[in-house]
Amino acid sequence: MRLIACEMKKVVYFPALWTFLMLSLVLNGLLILGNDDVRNYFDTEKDDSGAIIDASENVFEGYDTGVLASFYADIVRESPTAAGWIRKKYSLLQPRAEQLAKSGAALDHYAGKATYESHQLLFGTLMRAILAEGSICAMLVILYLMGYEQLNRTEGQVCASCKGRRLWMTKLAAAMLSAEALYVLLAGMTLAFYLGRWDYGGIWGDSVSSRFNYLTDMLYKRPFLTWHNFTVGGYLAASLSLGAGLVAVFGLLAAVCAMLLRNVYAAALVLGTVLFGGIGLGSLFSQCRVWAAYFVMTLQPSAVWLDVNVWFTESGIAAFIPWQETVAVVLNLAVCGMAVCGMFRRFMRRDLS
Amino acid sequence: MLSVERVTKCYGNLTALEDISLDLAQGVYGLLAPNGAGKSTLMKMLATLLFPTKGRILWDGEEIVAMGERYRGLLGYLPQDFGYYPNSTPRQFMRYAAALQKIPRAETDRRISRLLELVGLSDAADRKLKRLSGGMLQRVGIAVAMLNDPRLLILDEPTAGLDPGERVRFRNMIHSLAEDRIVILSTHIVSDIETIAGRIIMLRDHRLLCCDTPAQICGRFRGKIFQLPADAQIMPHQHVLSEGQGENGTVLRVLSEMPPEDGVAVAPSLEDAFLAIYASKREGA
Ligand SMILES: Nc1ncnc2c1ncn2[C@@H]1O[C@H](COP(=O)(O)OP(=O)(O)OP(=O)(O)O)[C@@H](O)[C@H]1O
Ligand SMILES: [Mg+2]
Repeated sequence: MRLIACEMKKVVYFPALWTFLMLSLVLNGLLILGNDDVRNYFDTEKDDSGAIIDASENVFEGYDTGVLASFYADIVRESPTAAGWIRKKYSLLQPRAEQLAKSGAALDHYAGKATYESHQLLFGTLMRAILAEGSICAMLVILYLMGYEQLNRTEGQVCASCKGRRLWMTKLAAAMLSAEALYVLLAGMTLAFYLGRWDYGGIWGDSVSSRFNYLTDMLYKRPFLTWHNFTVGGYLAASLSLGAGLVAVFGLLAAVCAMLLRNVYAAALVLGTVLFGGIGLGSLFSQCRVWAAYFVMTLQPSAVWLDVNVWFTESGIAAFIPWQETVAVVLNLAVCGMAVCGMFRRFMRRDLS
Repeated sequence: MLSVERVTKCYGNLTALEDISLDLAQGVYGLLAPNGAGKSTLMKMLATLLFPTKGRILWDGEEIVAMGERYRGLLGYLPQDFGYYPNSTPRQFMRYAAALQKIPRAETDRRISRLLELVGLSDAADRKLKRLSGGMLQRVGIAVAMLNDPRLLILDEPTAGLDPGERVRFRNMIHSLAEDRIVILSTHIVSDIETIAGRIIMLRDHRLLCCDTPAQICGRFRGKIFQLPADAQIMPHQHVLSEGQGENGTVLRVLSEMPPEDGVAVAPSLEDAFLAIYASKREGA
């Protein structure tokens, strides 16, 4: 406990982190102000005549996910495996469409005409920014704490102390706690500013699958089909929670690099290469129409981050299984967690050079 | 009781230490060897920072790596390049070290104050470490190494950068500490260990040369060290060990099996012994 506090204190005195945090908040503020025009037609007034909406407005009534299945299966036709995954995914979506039809989710008003824009602003632009900033903070904190003793040449004394090399586990815990706290801070301040300007008062309980909401992927517009009945509030809570997991994934990934390379700068370089290279590789696979490989690449953390605006939905070409983002985050946590454990075991029995 | 059993350490192709065996009981051990002889390597292995390529190191019959925390808890270590957090004060830095050593919180501050007093840094206790002089930092390092009242104290060149007064103070401190513990210190400054080291460990050609008392080491050269005037003819079988200022100008201290002409036999010092032992090697190189 005492050492976790000591390590967290090192984070508090890390100036670059606070500079980055300030810049992030300024950027988020600009993103919010830059999209202010949508607010003019952001309309949360429920139509009183809403009770008598004709059946055509319940967009999920009789919705056939087979259309989506054929659309995507045709796109990935070069790979029968990938096409099989797509068909399977959309066949699992059919009962969801029926449930949404029955629940009358589409009849919810959400934000009326401004629904799509405001939804994309909050769950696309802002969440993407918050997650990127939170993840960068997490990686910075991890690299900083794990390289701290080496930078100050105190590694020898520390490793010969009673706590010894196991301090690096404490460091990991302290860095993860700090990273999550910073993420909460970033998300909290950004959302506070956003919600201060936009009045969500009446719409937290509305379904995100409102008929005013929709998704477009590859120029194909379809209703907002989620794997679970989400209200706007529930969807935000789910996104923020999964985001916390994603931030942890990026942190663990940085920890693996730091422990593997034992040099902060090399670790940062490799980390950047892996993250950007991964995105590049994914789009390369889709360009070359190697769809099975492309789908595997959609599981990587940076792909999950990029697709934040379609989290918990059928996600179109960005996913090949239901709940893909959730599965990917859990999978990544498990893989990175095991890799970190392996690195620790190696570190415990290795010469300190 | 610390035993080093047939320890070899290789860095890739380079064999830094070969087949070292030592048994250390209470007392001060001085590790005296030229640069690059492997002193730090040996000390790092004793501090579990490096692992022997071959052989093993035992504390009371138990392998130190397997003992883990129990061993490190009774170890104090000052590395050759003592690192510190520049923006901390000695007191803050020692509090962190105390947390690492799992010293009870209630006891920490008392111990820190006592140690800072012992190394003469009470006045600088709350100044930033980056504003301290090299010798003061070295004393902080010594205090940190003694924080957990170690049974085994390993000091890699502890006197580097200390002024003569501090050096004497350090010697006295180590001398009084060593009654019931093992202190191993390395140095190039012969006078630092001449008076306090119970035994001197010497390394040559990556192997253990000796682990003897200073008197035994000097005794080997009794009757072989002579003082000559600077203009004396040096014979091939004579080795000039050092040059110095005598009463009548420059004098040479020479190692010779036979008494040279106008040579005055002198009592061999540990420095003479050190130079004599490593002389042949340097000339060969
Ligand atoms: N990490 C390392 N990798 C490769 N070789 C090393 C490493 N550390 C030390 N060596 C080599 O091992 C030998 C012994 O080094 P060591 O630092 O133990 O010497 P030393 O006796 O402490 O010297 P000094 O008096 O200069 O401190 C040297 O030849 C050195 O070059
Ligand atoms: Mg050394």
